[in-house]
Amino acid sequence: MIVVFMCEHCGQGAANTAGVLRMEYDPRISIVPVPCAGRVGPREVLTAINNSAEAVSVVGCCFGACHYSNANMVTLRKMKIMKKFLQEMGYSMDCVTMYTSRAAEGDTALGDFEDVAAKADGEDCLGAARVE
Amino acid sequence: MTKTKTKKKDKKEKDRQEQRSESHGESSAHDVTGARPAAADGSSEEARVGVFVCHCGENIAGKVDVAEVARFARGLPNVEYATDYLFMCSKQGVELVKRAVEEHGLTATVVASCSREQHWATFATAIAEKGLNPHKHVQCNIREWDSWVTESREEATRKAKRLVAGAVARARLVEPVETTKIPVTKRVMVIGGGVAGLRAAMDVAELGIPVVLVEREPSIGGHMTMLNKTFPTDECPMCTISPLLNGVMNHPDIEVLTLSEVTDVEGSMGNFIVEVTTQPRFVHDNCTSCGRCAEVCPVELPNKWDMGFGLRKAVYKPFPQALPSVFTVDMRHCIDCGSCRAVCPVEAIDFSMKKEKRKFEVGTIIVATGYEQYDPTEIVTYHYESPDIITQLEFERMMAPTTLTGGKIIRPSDGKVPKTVVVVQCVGSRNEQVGNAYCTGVCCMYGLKNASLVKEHLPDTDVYFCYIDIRAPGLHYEEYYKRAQERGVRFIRGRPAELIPDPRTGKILVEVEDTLACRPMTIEADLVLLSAGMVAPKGFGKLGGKLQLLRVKEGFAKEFHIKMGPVRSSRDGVYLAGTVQGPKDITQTVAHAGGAASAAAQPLVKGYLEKRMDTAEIDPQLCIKCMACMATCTIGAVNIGEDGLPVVNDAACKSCGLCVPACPTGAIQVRNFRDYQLRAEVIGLLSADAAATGGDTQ
Repeated sequence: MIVVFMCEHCGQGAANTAGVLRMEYDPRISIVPVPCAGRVGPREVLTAINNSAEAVSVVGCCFGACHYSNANMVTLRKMKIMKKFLQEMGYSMDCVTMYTSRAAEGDTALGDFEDVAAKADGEDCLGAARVE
Repeated sequence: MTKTKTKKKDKKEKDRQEQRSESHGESSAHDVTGARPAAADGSSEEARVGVFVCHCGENIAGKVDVAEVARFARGLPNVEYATDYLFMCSKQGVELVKRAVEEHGLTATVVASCSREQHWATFATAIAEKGLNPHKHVQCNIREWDSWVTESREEATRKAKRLVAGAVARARLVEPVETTKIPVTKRVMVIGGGVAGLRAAMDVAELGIPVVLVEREPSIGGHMTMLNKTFPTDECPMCTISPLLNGVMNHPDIEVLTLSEVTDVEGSMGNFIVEVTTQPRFVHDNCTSCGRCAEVCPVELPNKWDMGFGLRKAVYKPFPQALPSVFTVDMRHCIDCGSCRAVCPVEAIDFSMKKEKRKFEVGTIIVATGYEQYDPTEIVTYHYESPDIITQLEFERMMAPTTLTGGKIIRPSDGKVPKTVVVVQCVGSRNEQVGNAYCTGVCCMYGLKNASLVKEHLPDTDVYFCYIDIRAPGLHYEEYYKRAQERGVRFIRGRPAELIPDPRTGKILVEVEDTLACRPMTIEADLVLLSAGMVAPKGFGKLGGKLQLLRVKEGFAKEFHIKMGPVRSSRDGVYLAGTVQGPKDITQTVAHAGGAASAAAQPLVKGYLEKRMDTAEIDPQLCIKCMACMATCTIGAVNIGEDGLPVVNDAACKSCGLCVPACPTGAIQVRNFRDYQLRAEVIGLLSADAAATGGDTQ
């Protein structure tokens, strides 16, 4: 299972547009709505990882278009730092990703989904490294 | 917690420790009920959740086994009632929800159907009628996020179960949210003083709401005042717009700021604070517009407003009817000779004027910054640098009686009367090579207008009209096209490949394939008019960034919804009027601006906004006063309170939750997206598969 936290503006908007355009993607992708990508932090990501998620992804608005105030940029930095910690803890770098999308363009969400699904499949993203 | 010099590092360390401790705690808590801290006030034991799975006709039921999902939902903890129905959003469906709330004493509802935007409000209002807080309704999207994007029926059903399990876990813990009324500032800012901005400003002001109109240029009126005639009536645009221009200038409720630009925007819908920077005009408002300064000014240069077909002085008015009727000193070209100051009878000229910054409190903002004509230099084969190849906007100025040509149609290079005129359509629009796939939509009409005007003024001149398709939809437009045909304009279906200026003859060879006759042809033209499309103005990105507007990839501002919200922008409280949203003709622009005005006035007429209080909240017992939340909050909604504790300004808080991961102790939480609520949803979602297989084996 892949947990994708999507912000309620561009993230969920792009997912809705992708749906309207009937763009098929990996059924493992499960969207968890959050108000903003900035709401997602280590606690949420680790909750997902510890409950057997194959990969975790955060999708926010594209840069410069955050519906709050640059929270997507803050989240990108946060995710970068978090990746380093996860690597230290023995997880793959690929298991946590941050993307942006555009509500008007469903294919941006589709691209994010395809990428995270490919990452989840590659190198046994979380399966091998999961702490028992 | 001791303060160290390496505060950052310390915080990181703390974060990490916490993550570890939490992850240990949770690895044992695999059951759905586990992950709720003692601090949670909504007890999940008391929650009685109802689940309603929608078929949406075949939209969902075609892919998802809805009955199976409802059966699965029945097995989830705290679910009192679960069912499926053909159309949940229908009157009967809504009644079904209401009845279930009453009969089963539900405390929260989950409707698994379409997106939150589409039908959350439908069911939230329904349960509110039965006495529940509307926020006790959780919308679960199994259409856009599942049935429409999943191929296999089996996978789609499994995914639906997962999403429903997540939503149910959320519904068990969801808290009621109150709405409060926030007073609004009764004033509207209109950015852009073209026909859209003027119409919007007038319409708002007529409702008794004060308006601030911000225009970048020295005069208001925009592109419409530059036109010579308007289709389909061939009316004089200046005559049509001048009542509006005068009306806006003289309206007691409209403040017009020319030479001004918006430089900063703060606040949110209802209470924006906008900083406007006004460039100095170097002429005071007591200018009587007598024009003696311009008579004596020794500097003469091409008038930008006349597209180079007229001259102006360094102290100037762009056009005689320009409003505000005040001269402007162009400091870039002024040689500071002082002659204008010497002759001014009212001593209005003042070179000491400085750039001014003012802040305005406004409730809503209307953006009407308009368009820019596509610059044809990008298409090198069209040789726009040749003086006899001009755009339609330049032709409009050439035809105007106030310019150097005196309203005559001439070749700009030698002043001769053209014997052959070629109109080239679709320059910069319907052209994927330059990145504009869209059709501007108005070029056909103004191209036809100018082609028949040439024919009317110079009956002996041949006029060729090279087009891809003629797009003349609407009342009286097709008739206008017919009239151009009757006047003798020759229509050639084909986009010219190249315009070659011939230096020997001074003519322009137009290479075009007549695709109807299937033959290539070369037209020897004296004058070529390029129907350049409309593009988003170059500087718009800067303003768009300040207003936090989303833009489509063509550069225009994106509307809220193309059908149902064409005048709302992507940001609350900011509305779009006219061509800022996409190419439009004057008729459409005026209608669009009227719509924007009424939308922008709505909250101000009402006098208040309804604000959802699902804002951030701080637990003083957990707070260690590290102020990380205050540092993180990008909109400045967290401030220091009396006892040194951070406090959240509920009116400013937009519930984004950026502060929550920043808090090292979890003291700050956003209502309904608290740590334990989000955790429960994630765990519910992820453990759904196990729950489903467990259910199957029984």
